Amino acid sequence: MRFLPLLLVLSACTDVENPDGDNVEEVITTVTLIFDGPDGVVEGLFADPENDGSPVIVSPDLAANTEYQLTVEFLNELSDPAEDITEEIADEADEHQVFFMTDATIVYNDQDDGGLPLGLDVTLTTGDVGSTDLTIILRHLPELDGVAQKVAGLAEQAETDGISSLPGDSDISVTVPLTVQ
Amino acid sequence: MSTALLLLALLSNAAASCDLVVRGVVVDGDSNAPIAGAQVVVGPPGRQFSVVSDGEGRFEAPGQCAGFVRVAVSHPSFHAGATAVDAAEDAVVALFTHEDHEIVVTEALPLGLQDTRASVTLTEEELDERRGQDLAGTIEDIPGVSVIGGASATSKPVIRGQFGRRLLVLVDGVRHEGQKWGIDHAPEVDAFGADEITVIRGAAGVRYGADAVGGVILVDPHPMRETPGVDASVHSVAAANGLRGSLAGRVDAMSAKVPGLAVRLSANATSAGDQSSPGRVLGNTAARELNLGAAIGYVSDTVHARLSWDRFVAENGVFYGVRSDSPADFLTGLDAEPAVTYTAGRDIDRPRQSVVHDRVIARVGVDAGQLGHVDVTASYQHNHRTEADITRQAASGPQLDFTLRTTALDASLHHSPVAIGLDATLEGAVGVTGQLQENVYRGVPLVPNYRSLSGGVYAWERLWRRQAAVEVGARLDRTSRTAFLTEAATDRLDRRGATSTCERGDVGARCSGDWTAGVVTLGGLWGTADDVVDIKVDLSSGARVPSIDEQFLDGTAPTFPAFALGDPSLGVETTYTAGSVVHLHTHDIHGEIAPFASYVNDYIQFAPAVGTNGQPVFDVVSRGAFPRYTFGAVNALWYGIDGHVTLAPDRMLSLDLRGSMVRGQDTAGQPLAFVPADRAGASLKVQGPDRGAVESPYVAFDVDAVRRQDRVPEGDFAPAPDGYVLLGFRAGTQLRLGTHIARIYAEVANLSNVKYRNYTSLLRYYADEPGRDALVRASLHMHF
Repeated sequence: MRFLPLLLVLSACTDVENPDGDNVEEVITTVTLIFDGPDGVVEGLFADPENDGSPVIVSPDLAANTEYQLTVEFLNELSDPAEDITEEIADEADEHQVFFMTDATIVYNDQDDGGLPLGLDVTLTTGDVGSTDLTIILRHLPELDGVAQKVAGLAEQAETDGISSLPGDSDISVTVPLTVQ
Repeated sequence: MSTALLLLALLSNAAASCDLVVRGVVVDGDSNAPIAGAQVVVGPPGRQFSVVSDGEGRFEAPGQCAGFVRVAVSHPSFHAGATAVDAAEDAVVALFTHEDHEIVVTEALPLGLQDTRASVTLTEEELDERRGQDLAGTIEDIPGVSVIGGASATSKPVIRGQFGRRLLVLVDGVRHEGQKWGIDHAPEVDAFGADEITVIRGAAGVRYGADAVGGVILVDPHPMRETPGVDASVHSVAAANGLRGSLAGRVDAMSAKVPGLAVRLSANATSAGDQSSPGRVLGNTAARELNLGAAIGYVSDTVHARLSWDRFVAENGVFYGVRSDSPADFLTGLDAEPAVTYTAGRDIDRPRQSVVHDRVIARVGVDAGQLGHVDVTASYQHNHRTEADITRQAASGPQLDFTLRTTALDASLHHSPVAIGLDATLEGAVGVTGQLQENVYRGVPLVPNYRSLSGGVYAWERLWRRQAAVEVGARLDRTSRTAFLTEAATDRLDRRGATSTCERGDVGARCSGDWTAGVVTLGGLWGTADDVVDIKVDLSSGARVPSIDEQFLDGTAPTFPAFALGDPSLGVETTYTAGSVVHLHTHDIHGEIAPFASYVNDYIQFAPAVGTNGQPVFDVVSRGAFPRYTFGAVNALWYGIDGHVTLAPDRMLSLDLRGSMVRGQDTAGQPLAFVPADRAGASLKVQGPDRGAVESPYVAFDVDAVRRQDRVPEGDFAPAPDGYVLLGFRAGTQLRLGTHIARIYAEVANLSNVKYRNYTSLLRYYADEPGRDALVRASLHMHF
């Protein structure tokens, strides 16, 4: 055992004792939903800043049968300061699309360069009074093997066959309950 | 120091019995004709007896001590070589120049010196027949061995259901250290660099380390030259599936001007395109591998010294179809028709794994005369692994990045054989080991930084007499490990109430653990005088220290849609194993059957977490709700049997039958995960006669059947795949070209292009295993 101190001298490095920090650049920890309606702005939130499965969820109160302009923002709160991912997604619009699984009606207001929907800005029209869920899925649809995965009709496909019938992978998938009064 | 005193007492006894005579015959390996005039040197340095073989090739070397005796033979017309023979019983040994011009004993290692566990060694010739595969693929057809794979072109070896943390790979005698926790992390070992691979099935903790629970794989490089001259080898492999190609070369040299100083250079490269399963390209399964090696050695009568370096560089694409970003995607991916039809190419795209593994070994072996042989090995390994996911273009780097640095120092004394009574011999060794290991991550905090310091002492002794032996061994290891956690990771642990071993600092925390683990073994073997039957029995108990991932894994697994959590409070896992090997050896039948059973106290398993309501627990993160998998301790039982029998091994037509069965369950009867399915195989071989330069030509047909694994734990994402039968065809021959030897082989694997999935492969969730493959291999061994 007398060799051990020698070994320690040979290779102990201090980078071990100072972990780099959980600095993970591609993670999305937080989704902010800004509902702009006739009665002003209402916010919804899904935030898991520790990325450990204990999220903070804020459920917005919306009016029944009302049209809202819904803006979606994505943040990485593991970065310090928090990093806004929304702009990155807009820059790479041709390989991303935000999908909404909900009873409310969704109309896409924004498009990528190819004229396909993006989903950072949509119009959401609520239904009758009640509680419902809004699931927001950011789908990453990069070109694979030279073939584009983002094509027309994906939102309709998601509605009929479910989100996981789509190509690509979900970068995030969060559910925020909606209270419609 | 009482051990040393004991040794000295025994050695004085040994000196009294150095009156044995080693008798032998030197013959030409080609013709079996006796070789007169060969110089034969017998015995350890300082006590060497030199003799010239007579007209009938015979020699006698009196004055030898009991035990293993070195015999070196040289002759102007042949390549020199050396071997060791058993001198215990004035045995007559026949030596001959082997096809590689190395001198070998015609009989196998004396029974009394064999491993008491089931052990198979693949020789250079057998390896040549398997070149171009990774380590796991190379040994896969040994009974009791199977592979576990990810969704790329690499795999991990499994022995009797144990892999990764419970399986040791020793490369050139040094424990291989990589990120063992990943199911898709193949050991970073250059299979072309192996001259011999030995697979020991069963716990072998005393000599190799307490984590050798399932077994040990010894990968040994070509020995350095001990005599002046040059030898070299070249291998090339071409395979149809994925259009794989490999080229490997090695040169060894010793100058006559500087006798004793040997050098080696080696390099090999493999490039593989996307593989295909029947009817489908497995997009992005292309792979590249590069290995470099250099060594310098010095040999004298009493000293062997060597300094070597090798580098393993690999880049593996991960199948595009792997969808584990969210459990919903993963579940949909099961059995779904692929959304995209991939075209075969050679590009390696995201997702991918890259590894660079450097290994430096410095070793000195000294013949300490009567004391025995002392070996000291210092080694350093640097393992850098990165794994890159498909991400937004703005995220340019890999998501996982680990650097594992391992420094080790081992010293052992193999004492000179000691005569006990009239004809019994005692041999054995004592050793100390020390290791410092550090892990540094960047990016996703899946496995934390840590520093681990461990040391061990071990000793084993074997008493053997004629056809019987008893071996006892013991080992004690002490491991001290500190994990360095970030603030966020500490907070996460805190919320789970799992920071009891941690000390918070200004930033983050240090979580320390100390473990003491012991191993004891008792083995024995006995054989009939005619060598027809022998029986080996091995009993052992060993304790394994929990690995870093079992304690601190935290996050979503990169290849598995689960939220994985370690348990810092895990203790040592204690295994009690009994194994036996019954070996039959007649002119017409060679066979071996090996049953085994283990009881594991506090077996650490990775299993779905179940809440107090009996339902699976899900963790909601921004990518969806993931089922929680945790490491926990259960008491487990493993048992099984493996073996093979060869009928008419020396005839023109021979048949080899082999099979493996392993069961793993907890004491409540619940099956454990990833236990390989039962398998059986048969090979019919037609051997042709030697004709001129053509030696040992053959054709062989293989059938391998794998049963469906119907013993699976609850909570798997997909049912176990069906059983399957694979057909294969092989042909090959050896050509003798003067002093050089060439070997050529052709093989078709999965001849009928069967679609199948393997229970122990992650690919089974996404796609069929690769289909038919045709390979051509050529090896050339040159001696100048």
